[in-house]
Amino acid sequence: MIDCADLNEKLYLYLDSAIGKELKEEIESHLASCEDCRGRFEFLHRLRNSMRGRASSISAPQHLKEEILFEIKRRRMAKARKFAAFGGLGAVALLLLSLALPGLFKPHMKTSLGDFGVLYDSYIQGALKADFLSQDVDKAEAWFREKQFAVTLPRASLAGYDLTGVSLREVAKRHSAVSLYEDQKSKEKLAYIAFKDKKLNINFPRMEAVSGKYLFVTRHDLHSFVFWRDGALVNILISDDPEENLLEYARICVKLIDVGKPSK
Amino acid sequence: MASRADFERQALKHIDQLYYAALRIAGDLGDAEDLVQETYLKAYKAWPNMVEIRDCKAWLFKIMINAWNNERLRRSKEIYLSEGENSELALAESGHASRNSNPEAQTEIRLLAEAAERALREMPEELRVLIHFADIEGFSYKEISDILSIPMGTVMSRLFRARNLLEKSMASFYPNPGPGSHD
Repeated sequence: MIDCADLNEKLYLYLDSAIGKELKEEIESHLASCEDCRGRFEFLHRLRNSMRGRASSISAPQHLKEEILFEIKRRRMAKARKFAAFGGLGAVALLLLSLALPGLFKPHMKTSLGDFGVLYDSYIQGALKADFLSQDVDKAEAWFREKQFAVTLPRASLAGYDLTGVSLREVAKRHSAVSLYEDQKSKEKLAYIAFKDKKLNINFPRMEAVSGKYLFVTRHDLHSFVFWRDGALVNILISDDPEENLLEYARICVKLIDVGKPSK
Repeated sequence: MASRADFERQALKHIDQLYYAALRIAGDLGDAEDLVQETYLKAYKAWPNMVEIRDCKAWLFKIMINAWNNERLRRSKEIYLSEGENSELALAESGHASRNSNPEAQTEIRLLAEAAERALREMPEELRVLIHFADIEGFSYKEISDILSIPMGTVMSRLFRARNLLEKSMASFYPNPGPGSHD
């Protein structure tokens, strides 16, 4: 059994619920029998509640909330305008790569959204209306036109392509590299892609997670994102880069489509 | 995860807690507001890449602490709460003092909390922040360790020290036989 001296050391742990069941029961047993310690515990409990009560009376000024919301909205609109003006084949090709693939926009995949998220948000709203979460490219195209994204949509995706065997040197000329990766445990062949173009200021990505058929790659600062499944590239997204970088990035992705060959 | 609409819903709801902590850390109303705004804009920038916001509040606090450390580095000096600076904290608090409709409870809470506030002002910042995170925000040792980027053992030892200091300085409120009786 613990005594008052022991409790002095452990009472805070008890208050923080940072002890095991056994010790908790011992402390409660001691508190039940020791008026002094119980008084101290109750005081500390009251003290904490008083501090929390004081904290709950504090509100951030309304103008601060409004300023933050305004700034966020401003940034979002700036990006939306950038994309509306952008409107190039490359970017939308890039988007459509993902768009046209089955199951890609399941909720767990939203993590990959960066600057494209602005477009994506609109896309999702439209998608819900136009119901082209299916692979109906015509509907997708119609929706983009309706939204005045003046684009020509490529009617292809990388889903049926396997970049295995693509010459690294050849791809490197296009400022990017595709490498194969073999999972040491499963011996399954996966792949990763690295963007080396200094203009893009993209470092070699680090591997985020490898699990069976999936390989996620992100840049160290999480601004770019590559997603492979079953050895095929199924999604590339990037965020927070200047417009010229996005354009260049989109070109690279289009070139990757060009060099990718159907596996069969 | 997290769409941009989620950001407003999930992240902005913690603004009051962040603001209070910012007041305690920065001490100055203007600095606190700047710090909160910077925290949210940084968080917003990182938001689309968050794979999973398991604990959004702790994540925001971590951003805020980093932002403040950067700011402090920029100013190249340690900033501790001065009497004048804390009067701004008191000012921020006083505007909301009438919310509790129970006068008796309000008085007790106010007296205890004010005494605690005075005691916290006397503490070094590294201890004061721990009390704030553990006792006011209710973060676990592990969460505090993550937020402040210090080992969990350090969190626990500093927190123990901070609470002992706080408890002793609250002696006049303490029921018989007083906080020193178990020392």
